[in-house]
Amino acid sequence: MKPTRTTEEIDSLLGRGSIGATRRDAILETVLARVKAEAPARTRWRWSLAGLATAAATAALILLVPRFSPPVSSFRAKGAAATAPSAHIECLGASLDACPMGSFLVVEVAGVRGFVSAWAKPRKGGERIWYFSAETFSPLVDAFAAVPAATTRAVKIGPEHTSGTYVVHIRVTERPMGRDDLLRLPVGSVLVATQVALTVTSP
Amino acid sequence: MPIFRTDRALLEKFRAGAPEALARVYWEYVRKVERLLSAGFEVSCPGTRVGGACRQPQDLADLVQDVFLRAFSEKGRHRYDGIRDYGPYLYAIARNVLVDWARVRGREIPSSWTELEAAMEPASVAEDPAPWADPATMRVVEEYLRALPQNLREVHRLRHEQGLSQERAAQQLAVGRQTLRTLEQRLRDGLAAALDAAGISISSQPEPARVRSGIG
Repeated sequence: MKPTRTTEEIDSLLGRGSIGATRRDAILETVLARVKAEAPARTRWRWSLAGLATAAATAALILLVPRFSPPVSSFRAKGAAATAPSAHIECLGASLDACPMGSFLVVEVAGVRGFVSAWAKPRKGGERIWYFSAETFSPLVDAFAAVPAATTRAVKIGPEHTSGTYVVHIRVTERPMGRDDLLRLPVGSVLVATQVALTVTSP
Repeated sequence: MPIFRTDRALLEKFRAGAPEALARVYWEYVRKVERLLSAGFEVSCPGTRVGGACRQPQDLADLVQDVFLRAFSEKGRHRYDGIRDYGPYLYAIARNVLVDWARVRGREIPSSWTELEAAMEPASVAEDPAPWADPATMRVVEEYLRALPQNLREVHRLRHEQGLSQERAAQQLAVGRQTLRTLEQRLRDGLAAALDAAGISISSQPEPARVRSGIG
């Protein structure tokens, strides 16, 4: 079988171990999206004039984890968590009811430590769109002690999406899980299992 | 030349969070921040060395992003006084991020802001010549890069060695951004083919043991 390599892995090799050109581009996009999302509404109109440069259209381009992933020795941490295990998504700069194409989705996890998987299923039927899984990348997150939720990761809503409503499934597990396993896994056997409605709109 | 010293308008836009100003500052400093995070630094008083993330590219990318998330947050933008050079301020944030990263891994490191601003980078990254891949992979990559045609060699130099944005690299090459993207893809495809031909695969999923492999 032909080995699977991500753009970022190849880029890192081309950069002789640096983070690579693609990741540098992606970091800037994520940081700008985050700054925009946190800006007071009164300042946003200025940005619409400036316009954000768009990156190469990469299907569900996986960006970076704003919070780094620490080593994991115990997924179910000892003692009481600061908050109950949970996960949800946020559409940066917009809302889950109207998340324009090209926006960034972040997965936020709280009260747990483990590997995040996520995929979207169109409500009207169709192919699943995978955001995180062991086949590509399943971020290792540590949000056990963070209050209220500290672990985020960004995914670009790319052209593989069409306008419409999706159900986004999120799983946090003790090991990185492949797609087949994720779909078979009983909900009760994972650290966190949740689903969230997301409506993608035209840009 | 310090970025804001001769361009006060840029400083105002930066403070307001204008994307074009943030992008300009980002591209000015991203490679330097990356090098600092990769190499680590020394805290002067007790001679404590905080190791970098050069052996963990996945973490390195996350750390770089964390630095700019902090620096470009509203608090981070307004905390910069606009009088001193921006570089040392940004590098202190980077050291702070590195110290937090080290703490997560169980190391106690003195980290007052004054200490972090005064901290020194290691004399040379070459003192710590961490391999960035296994020897066979490195050999294939180096051979591939040596044999590149001129146009792809230039793309590699500008984007991967100098760390320029797509926009600036395209300007220097006198091509459009779409052409640059096509050339970048050709560069990647070529390396992937060279690795295939050598029978080398890459695992995209970091194992916990690899993530756990500590700092210097």
